[in-house]
Amino acid sequence: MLVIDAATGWSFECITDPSGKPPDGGLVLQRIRHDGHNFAKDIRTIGVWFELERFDSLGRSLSRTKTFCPLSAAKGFVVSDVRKLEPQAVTYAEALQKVPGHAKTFKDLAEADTAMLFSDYFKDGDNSVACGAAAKYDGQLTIDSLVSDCGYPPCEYSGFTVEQLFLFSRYSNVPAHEPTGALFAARFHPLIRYQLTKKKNSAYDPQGPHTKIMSIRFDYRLHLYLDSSYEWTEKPDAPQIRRRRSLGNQAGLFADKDSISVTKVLTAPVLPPRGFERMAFSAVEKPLVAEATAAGLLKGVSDGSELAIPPIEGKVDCWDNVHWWGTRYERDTYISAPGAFHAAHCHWRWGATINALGILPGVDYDYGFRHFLPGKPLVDPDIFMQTIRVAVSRNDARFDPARTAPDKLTASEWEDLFEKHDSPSPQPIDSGDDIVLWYSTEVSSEVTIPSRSNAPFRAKAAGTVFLHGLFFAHDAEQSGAAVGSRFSNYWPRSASEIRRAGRWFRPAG
Amino acid sequence: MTDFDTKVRLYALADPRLFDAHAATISRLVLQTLKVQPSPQRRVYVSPTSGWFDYTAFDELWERQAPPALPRAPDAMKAAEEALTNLEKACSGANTAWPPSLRGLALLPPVRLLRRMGLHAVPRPDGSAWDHWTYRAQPRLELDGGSKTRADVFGTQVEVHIGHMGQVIGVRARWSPLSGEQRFTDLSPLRALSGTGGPDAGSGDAAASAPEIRYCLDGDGIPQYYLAPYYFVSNDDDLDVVSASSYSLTVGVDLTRQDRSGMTLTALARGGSGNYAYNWGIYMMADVEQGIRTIGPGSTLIIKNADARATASAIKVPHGAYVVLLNVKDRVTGAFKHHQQQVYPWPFTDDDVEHAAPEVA
Repeated sequence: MLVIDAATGWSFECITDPSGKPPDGGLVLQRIRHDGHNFAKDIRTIGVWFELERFDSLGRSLSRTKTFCPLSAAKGFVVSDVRKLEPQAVTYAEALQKVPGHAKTFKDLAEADTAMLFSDYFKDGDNSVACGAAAKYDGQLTIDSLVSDCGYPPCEYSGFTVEQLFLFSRYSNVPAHEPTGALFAARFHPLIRYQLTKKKNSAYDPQGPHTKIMSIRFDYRLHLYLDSSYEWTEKPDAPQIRRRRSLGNQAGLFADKDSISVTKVLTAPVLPPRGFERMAFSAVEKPLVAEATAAGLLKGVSDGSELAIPPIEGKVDCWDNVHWWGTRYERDTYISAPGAFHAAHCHWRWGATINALGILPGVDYDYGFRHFLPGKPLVDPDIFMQTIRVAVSRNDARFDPARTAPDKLTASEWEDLFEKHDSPSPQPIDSGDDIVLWYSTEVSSEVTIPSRSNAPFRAKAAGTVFLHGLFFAHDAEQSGAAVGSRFSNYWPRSASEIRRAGRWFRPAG
Repeated sequence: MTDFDTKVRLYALADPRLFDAHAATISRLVLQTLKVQPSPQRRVYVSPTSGWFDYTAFDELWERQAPPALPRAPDAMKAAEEALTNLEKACSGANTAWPPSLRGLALLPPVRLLRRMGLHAVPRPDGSAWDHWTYRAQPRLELDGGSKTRADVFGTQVEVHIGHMGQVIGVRARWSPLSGEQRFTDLSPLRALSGTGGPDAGSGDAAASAPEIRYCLDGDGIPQYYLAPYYFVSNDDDLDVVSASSYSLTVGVDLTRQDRSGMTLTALARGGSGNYAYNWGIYMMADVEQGIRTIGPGSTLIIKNADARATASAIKVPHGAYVVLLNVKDRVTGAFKHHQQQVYPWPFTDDDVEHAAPEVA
């Protein structure tokens, strides 16, 4: 299904089978562009992992296991047809639209309150916001089947209902994408909304042997591709294209200013240079020297030492965002950061020091109630205990989803797909390459954060992941005091140190 | 210099649907100007939402079978700028074929005021060939009554894609046409940002270096009736967009209280008289198909800034991650601003704890 949505400027191919259903594994969108600018070659969900824990009748834990559940009819889902979403036009207020050319705009605005009504712009009950594609997966007995296949006793939940909503918004600055409010972009939200359901007359007995869901993990593969661009003074030709080192893409990882303690930054082997980027970031790898796996959140926090039970990544510091862009301009120059006016931006958290001033005079905003929830994750609050992991890898033919089943594109321990593969050393990608973003978010059933409460916070049975989405800016580069440099940036570890270490996993701190 | 020279201009925007009503005529004029035959592969589109203009040759931009022979850079630049000049003429009152009901309105920004932003060769994703040139330009408008100063219109851009043999294979104008109506008003002094209420509360100090003034177009699908000037103020690690006239409103929303029963959101407009009317709406991204729910004006709060009293508004909503919408009007001047903002609740809330900003608890 080819979608060319003139209203939002997005176009993409949505892959369906002949009956109009999504392929096994979930929605697949390809050749995604906005206003004629490439955004991605292929975006899809790989599948869902459940971590199950088995208990005896005394409540003692006996074992844990992980089981993979791709979104497909084979896993007991009743799969809907793909639904196309089309936004309604946003129109002018009734009173003002009747005046050709709005010759009395200011007078009418002053005299009438028509402009204040929402119903003139956004019709009630109509989607005015996004185009996109959606599909539902109704798995009334999916959990029962998964648990039974693992040889585990019944679980509190029987069913798992999923809706994929891949949404694309218009190009605008409202709502703001970044705290400065000075970056125009179109948004992409590859949402998965899920609900765990219970069955009446279930064999589940909490006093007997039973199973609990300890976490649900959603794995995505985003083969982003943004256009490269070169400033030539002459005619570009085939030999020139061959001479370029690469026409591929580059990516960078960034941690905002507060994400790592000042002490750690000041004692780091590489100190940040002077400039706006030093003000903004406590850790940067721009562009990524080599393929990488990285932690973005650990059960809802960005510092592993905050958790009562250390995560498997250790007490590491997390990154806050990943940026993606086409190779460009003169050699060894990159997007500006902060800035990135032609780039894909993926932020799941902003540093605690942004928006230091609240809107109200004299109010103490230490709770972090300010715009962009500084220092806190931008995730569904009902399931905030998420562990976000990202990887950037070369587009390896062995992991081509067109030729490889979803279960071969993931691993029970997410990072094993990358680190324990038969090419364990990350390959260099700093000069640009055909690279893929792997995004995973794992919702834990509960988390204890001693600095907040000694009692665990528990996840609700329903939620939505990837709420923060990505935003795609494709403007000309800009300059100014609040725009970072276009050069490479590495701290607290230098590029050569990263190369020498040769590790996939790279924490921010 | 007269008083008039020191005033700044406000530009009213045209209703985009006036252009939409003449879509067929505009399409014909554009294709004639670009010297291409009508075809399903040639799309001319003027957004009924924003008036933004788009022309795309679908079989050329990215999709041309044989690798294109691109012109030299200076020739591509010339082709792009000539196309814009010709399109401006064709789609304005300078053309006798322009619909009478659109007289006085022009589809594109004033081409003579455009600022070049660059020309780039763009390769195909598979690296097999260069696909096209992309030319970019920044629209500007005259800022002062005496037309001595020009200001960028933030949020706007014009792009032209030049393909095989110098053909124009794409034009995108992120530009909402002007209605022709202008109003002249005083440039507000730049107020220092502070923790005591922001620009409204300022000391009157100007920034150390003169900040840039730009008009702001908020984007596609965002209700807006006129262009007004704003200061773009750089601080150490931040950029603030601050009102530069009494018609240049800004709006902020904070989560000011959270307890078991929900969240209190408080909005405060700045830049105008202080006497503001609000109307709230809300939607959830995951429920986007359900549409926007109007909430209403909310509860009125009077906020005392350092130099004035301002009307704020508060609403209470259930816990959740939302996009809130606000229509704000200055009751004294009629200045209008539509605002949207993502709101996330404080995540670490257990049922027995209340969090509140103390001054409004």
